[in-house]
Amino acid sequence: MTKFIFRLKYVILRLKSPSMKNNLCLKYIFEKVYQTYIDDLLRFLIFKTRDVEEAEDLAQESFIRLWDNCHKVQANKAKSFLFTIANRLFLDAVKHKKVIRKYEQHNTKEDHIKETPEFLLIEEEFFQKIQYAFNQMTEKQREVFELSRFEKKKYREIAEILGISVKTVEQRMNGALKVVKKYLGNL
Amino acid sequence: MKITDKDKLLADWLEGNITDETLQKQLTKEEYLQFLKIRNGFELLGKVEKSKKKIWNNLQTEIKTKPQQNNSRRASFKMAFSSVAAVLLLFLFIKIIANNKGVRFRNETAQNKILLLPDSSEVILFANAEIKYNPKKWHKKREVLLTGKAYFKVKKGGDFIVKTKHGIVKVVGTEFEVESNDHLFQVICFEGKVIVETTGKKDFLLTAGKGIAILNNRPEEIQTIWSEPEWLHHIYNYKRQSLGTVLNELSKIYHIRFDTQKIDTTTLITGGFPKDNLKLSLQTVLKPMGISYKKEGNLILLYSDN
Repeated sequence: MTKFIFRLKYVILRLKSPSMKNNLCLKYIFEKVYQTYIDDLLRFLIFKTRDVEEAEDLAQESFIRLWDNCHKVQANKAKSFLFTIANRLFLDAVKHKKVIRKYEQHNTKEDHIKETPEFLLIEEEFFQKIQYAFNQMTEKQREVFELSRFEKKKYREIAEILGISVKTVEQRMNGALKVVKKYLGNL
Repeated sequence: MKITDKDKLLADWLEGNITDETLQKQLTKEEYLQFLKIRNGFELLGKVEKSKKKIWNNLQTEIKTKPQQNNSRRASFKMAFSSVAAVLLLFLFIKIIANNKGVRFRNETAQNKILLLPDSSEVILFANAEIKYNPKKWHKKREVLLTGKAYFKVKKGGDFIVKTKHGIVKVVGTEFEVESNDHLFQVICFEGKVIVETTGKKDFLLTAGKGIAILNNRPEEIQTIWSEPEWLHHIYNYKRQSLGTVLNELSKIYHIRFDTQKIDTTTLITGGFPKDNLKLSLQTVLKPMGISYKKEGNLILLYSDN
């Protein structure tokens, strides 16, 4: 009898305050969780799989599973859930690949073609610092940095797009690089 | 912070103003490696940022097709309703059980209390006695649960069962007393016939005036001359008992002795005498018989009036 009363009280509480902090099923909370952990999750998967595309698929699947289980997982347990699922999915993928390899008798060299060349030099810790530095840049620095490094735009083009002088673009880019330098330690 | 040459080199090189070879010439092996790492790091970062946006877009589709928030609300409602339903069911269940169990009547007073049963049978409860029975089922089954001491006047009509923790008393239209306490189980039949079933052991058949007392599992046959228990009306009632027998009881009760040499003790008498009143008791018993008495301490001399 008391069990039912407790259950009832808990349910009434939940209905009264749906914006409880650990309610993952609320979109804005789920989004916050996504923003908080996606960097780490992707990095983790990228360095495990050595393949950005595969890491992307696994990360996406992990978050889908989190969404499907949003009632059962508290927001403060989300990270451990995500990483556990991601790791499991990764291991399943490895098993799957092994099976395929067994039956396809391909030239083993082909397997390496997928590996992203960027990996040839960097370690996970290094990349973590890069990610962190990127998040520490100011909005303006990040904006210029993105256009330059991701979109491969020249300073001149960036200046035009943003409606600022080339000098300003240079300044902001230098600022961004300084942030990176700071978090990498010594250059 | 001052922009060092190395910082400018990095910026120029990333922008594409200087080639890898030109750069290499200006740096140590370690420094060049570091520059390459940084450029690769930025490349990877670009891919990661792109992935992040792509994943989030895909998640939007997923969230839209499977909106969990409503479900959790619905699930909460479901849970609320099921909990309320469960509590209601429990209440109902308890009520039904309670109804099936019937009523409970307890004599909280120091006096005897009469209880009239649905078929007009009577139960007289001694102090602290408790009885339970189901009025709804009475017409089918006359059964009571007794704790303590009670006197039953059962109307004719099928079995009448008194259940106690020590045993069961079965009756057909009769008057009897049952006492069930922690160690004592006593049944005295005053009128009619009574069957006593004890847990495990013997069954006893009692006729009027006969009783059975089971103290700590030891049964003992008892006799009574009374026509009903004295605690009923605080009167010792007797029916067609010999004078001698009644005087015997009187001596036991009042701790006195009778000298009966001068009277006939075999006469059968019917009557009663009160508790706690020797004078009145003697008068009630002896006067109708035409017997007088002389009290000398604890000895009472009885002699005929004529």
